[in-house]
Amino acid sequence: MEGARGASLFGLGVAEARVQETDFTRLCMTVVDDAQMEEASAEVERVYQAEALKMWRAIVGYAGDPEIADDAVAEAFARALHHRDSIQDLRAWTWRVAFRFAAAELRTQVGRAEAHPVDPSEPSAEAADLVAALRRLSERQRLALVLHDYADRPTAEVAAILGCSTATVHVHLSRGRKRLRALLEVRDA
Amino acid sequence: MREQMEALDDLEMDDLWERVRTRTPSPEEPEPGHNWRARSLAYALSGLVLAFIVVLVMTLLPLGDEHKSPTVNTPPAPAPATATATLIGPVAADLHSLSSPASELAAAGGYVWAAQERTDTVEKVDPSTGDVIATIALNGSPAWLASGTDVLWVALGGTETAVVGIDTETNEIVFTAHGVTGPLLQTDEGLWGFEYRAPEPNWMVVLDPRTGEVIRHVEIQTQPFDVAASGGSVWFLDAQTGTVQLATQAGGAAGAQVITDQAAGVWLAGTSSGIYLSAWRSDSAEAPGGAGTSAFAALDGSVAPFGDVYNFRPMVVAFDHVWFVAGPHDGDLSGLCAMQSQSGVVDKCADINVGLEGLHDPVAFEPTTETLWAISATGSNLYEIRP
Repeated sequence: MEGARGASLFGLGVAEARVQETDFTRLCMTVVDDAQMEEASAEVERVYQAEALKMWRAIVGYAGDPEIADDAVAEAFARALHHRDSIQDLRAWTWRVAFRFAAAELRTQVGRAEAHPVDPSEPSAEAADLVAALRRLSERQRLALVLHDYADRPTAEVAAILGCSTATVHVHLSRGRKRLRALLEVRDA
Repeated sequence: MREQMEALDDLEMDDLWERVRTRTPSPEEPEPGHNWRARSLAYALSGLVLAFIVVLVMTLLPLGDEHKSPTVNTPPAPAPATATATLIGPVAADLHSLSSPASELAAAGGYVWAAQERTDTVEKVDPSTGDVIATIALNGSPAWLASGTDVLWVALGGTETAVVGIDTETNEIVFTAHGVTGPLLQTDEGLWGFEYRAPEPNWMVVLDPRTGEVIRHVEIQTQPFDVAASGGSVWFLDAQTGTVQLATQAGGAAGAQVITDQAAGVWLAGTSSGIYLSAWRSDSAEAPGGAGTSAFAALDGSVAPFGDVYNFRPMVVAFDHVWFVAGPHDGDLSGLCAMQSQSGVVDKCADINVGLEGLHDPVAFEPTTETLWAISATGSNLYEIRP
């Protein structure tokens, strides 16, 4: 009503004013939606800037393949952009999606010679050795170790990604640490 | 281990943001947390419809008191409330508050004690009321608790490990042994603890509970995570491999013996004829009852599958039942459940969310009031369970 009254001041009839009012409301909603979308996209970019590097390194540790890590990180944040207004905890969500994507990629590689292992000559032999040692752990041990001991993700989040209880995560961590320590000691000896 | 993992920081990533912006996401499975608004609305509507149906049924079909299901009340509440299970057989529980999240429980001297790692204190709870009646300050973080005769044993973690004994009536510290930590267990022989001596082989130590003198050492190759007594034998859980070993046998013979090859959990519960553990042994796969993860180790060291509960977390043995924490990934079971110690049949559960983050013992049996106590998932509440 206020809109119609305001519109009539500019010489418009009531019917015309109602049409104008509807268009104006739509325009306002579009502007508001665009602003919300921009804000959501900016939020995704902020999380990307804060998390992507750590996430990528953790996935290299898990998958042993920088190309899988590239794909997994890009896919997780692309999906986040796509669903940006419907994700509650963006940080945890992108970690979960990236690791699940990497796990699926790893499974498709089984039996195929498509791996792109970390080059030992760059950037450090220690990193390449660590990735090689991690590859000798079970998949779940490796996942628990890189998420918890490297990326500092809470055990509850690791459990959600692994699909198990937190107690089981601790068992994977315990066994994985022992095995990895032994593997790295052999390397150092 | 964290330092070694930092080698991953040497890896360099190309900036992927442009690739993110231009990438078309692949077809995907819905993720938990995605579309939460729509999901919340759907849940809310479902809840309303369900509530309407329940009210309608209750109105049309009035039941006698003996048939009424107890109310399920899972959210923590400041005042005592009733939380009961309806899954298999209801077990009543009350909820009590602690000052801050606790990590471990024990019953000693007729009281329930809660370890507060954040404040370096132990809280003393009156089991008849559920109220915290004293807070005892410690010189370290209380990592393990164990009950003794009129004394509560506390293993302190941190840079200076020690075991202290608290008089359960006066609340005074009456015993200190430096260099020893948990897990702890008092047997007729003495107080069992652990002495970390890496790179040398480690020791389980047995201390005189009055003087703190070392009665004897049992050399082990690893770090124990939990310890349990059974019929004069002492068993410990190897934290590195998940295996359970016999530290000493009835009759005093020392030495470690591996009794299972694949334990799946980090808890033990003992009874007079053996211990309950979360385990799976490859050669038990063909045994009667299959290869569930609940297992029973007899005094002779043999392990048999016991029941069939995925991710079995045994806590205490009371009322001819072994009480274990189940869920949230254990199929139909959830809460603190009870398995008959003779048959392996699970016949009751308290539908409560027990906190497992502290990893040690979040459940204790208080014998003078015949009640079970459990730390809630948030750590800030105690459930009092009356089987």
